Amino acid sequence: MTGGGHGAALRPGERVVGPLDRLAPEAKLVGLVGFLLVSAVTPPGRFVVLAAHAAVAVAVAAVAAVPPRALARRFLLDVPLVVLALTYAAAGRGPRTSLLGLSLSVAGLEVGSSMVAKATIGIIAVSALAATTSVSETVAGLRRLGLPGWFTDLVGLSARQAEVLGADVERMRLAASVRGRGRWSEWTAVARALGVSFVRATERVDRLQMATQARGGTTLGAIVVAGPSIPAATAGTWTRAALPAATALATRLLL
Amino acid sequence: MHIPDGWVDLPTSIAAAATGAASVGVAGRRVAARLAERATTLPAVLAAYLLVAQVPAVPLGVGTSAHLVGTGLATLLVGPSVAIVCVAAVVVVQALVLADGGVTALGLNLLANGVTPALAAAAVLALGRRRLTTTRGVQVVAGVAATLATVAAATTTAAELVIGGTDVIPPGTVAGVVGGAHVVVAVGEGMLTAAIVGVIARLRPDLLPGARLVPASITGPVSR
Repeated sequence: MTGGGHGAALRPGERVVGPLDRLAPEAKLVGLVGFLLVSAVTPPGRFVVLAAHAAVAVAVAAVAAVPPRALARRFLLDVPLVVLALTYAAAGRGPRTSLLGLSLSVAGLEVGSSMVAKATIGIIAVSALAATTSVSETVAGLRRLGLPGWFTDLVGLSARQAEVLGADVERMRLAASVRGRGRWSEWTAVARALGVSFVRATERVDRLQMATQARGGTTLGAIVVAGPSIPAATAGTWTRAALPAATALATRLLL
Repeated sequence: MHIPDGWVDLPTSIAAAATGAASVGVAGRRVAARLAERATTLPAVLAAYLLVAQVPAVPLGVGTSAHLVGTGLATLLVGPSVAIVCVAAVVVVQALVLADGGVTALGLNLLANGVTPALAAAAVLALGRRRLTTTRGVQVVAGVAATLATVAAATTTAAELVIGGTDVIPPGTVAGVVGGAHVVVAVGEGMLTAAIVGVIARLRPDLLPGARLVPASITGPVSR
């Protein structure tokens, strides 16, 4: 993965530890899913409630010190979603209204904009988790929540290897762009980089296998060892982690 | 495309999560049996490869860019079980670390990007088995498999949006928009996959299925 807000969180010396960083990862994960579920089941068109949910997500993201650049990049990647949501407004059934000279379905507009709002809320909320939780903490949290060890190992190892392979591909891409430009050559350069990268990836499997065997580990459930520094959840932790979801639920019921 | 949070209703999301978890369970057992001590390292590195390959590479205009989805390629190289397990790890990392795709939509995205494309690609590979004897043959089969895998992914995504979505828009319109947008993506995926397979065939023909391929040293010079 090239960049990302979590990258900074992986370097011990550079990590700014805030209140969210100290929460146990399993509590944060459950709190996040709870919040997202409350937001997800909010009926379309209840914009006051959705605005309140967005405010909760933004507040949490502010506490988490989510880098604005990371957020902006994630929003950019979601442009296709906005296009799809616009289709709902353009092709929806029922009475129509005129907006900026376009004839749009009232119900479709309501549903489409609610979808964009919920997607945005989700991105902000997950960014808050990602900015305050390292990959190994997330993996430990998933393990503590009862996911099978072989799968959490797989997730942890994948994320780590993605950084290695990503840096590799980035170097190849740079080299290709130095050699020549043009859209077609860029395509073939991408194919070549991905082909070479695959071959290197299979070689990495051998290296990893050797390292695992050298540590004497079996492969299932033993590769990613949760560090002792990862906090465990207490009753207070669960309560604090549930705050966003509880606030969201309250706004849903009261507003 | 990854379905974000709040687009598909709860019953559909939960059903998809249950189906997805069951698929990964079955696939995981098959992977463990087939790969033995490599059951974690090989899928992990391949999942990392997919994560990297999915980073937008070639900008194609405002907001869109070409990148590999890779489920078809993974199915070709390591079979559908490993591919499904890999995509499961990929969607979890994307949802929880990269904020790409909904956390409550994990099951939906696993079905759409992993399970159905892998099965579609596996079907193409089974049908094209006899053609896997030459590099060109592997490239053609891989291209078709990757294209149809992407079509399967788009179809599943559209079906999920229709089943668990709203009735303010006719189902055909959703299918048309999602499907139409993916026609270009599917063709690009096929061409890119064929090109990648060509590179792998030159460097390490033994990694391709039907490894009865003539060694690269005989078919032509290795160019880098």
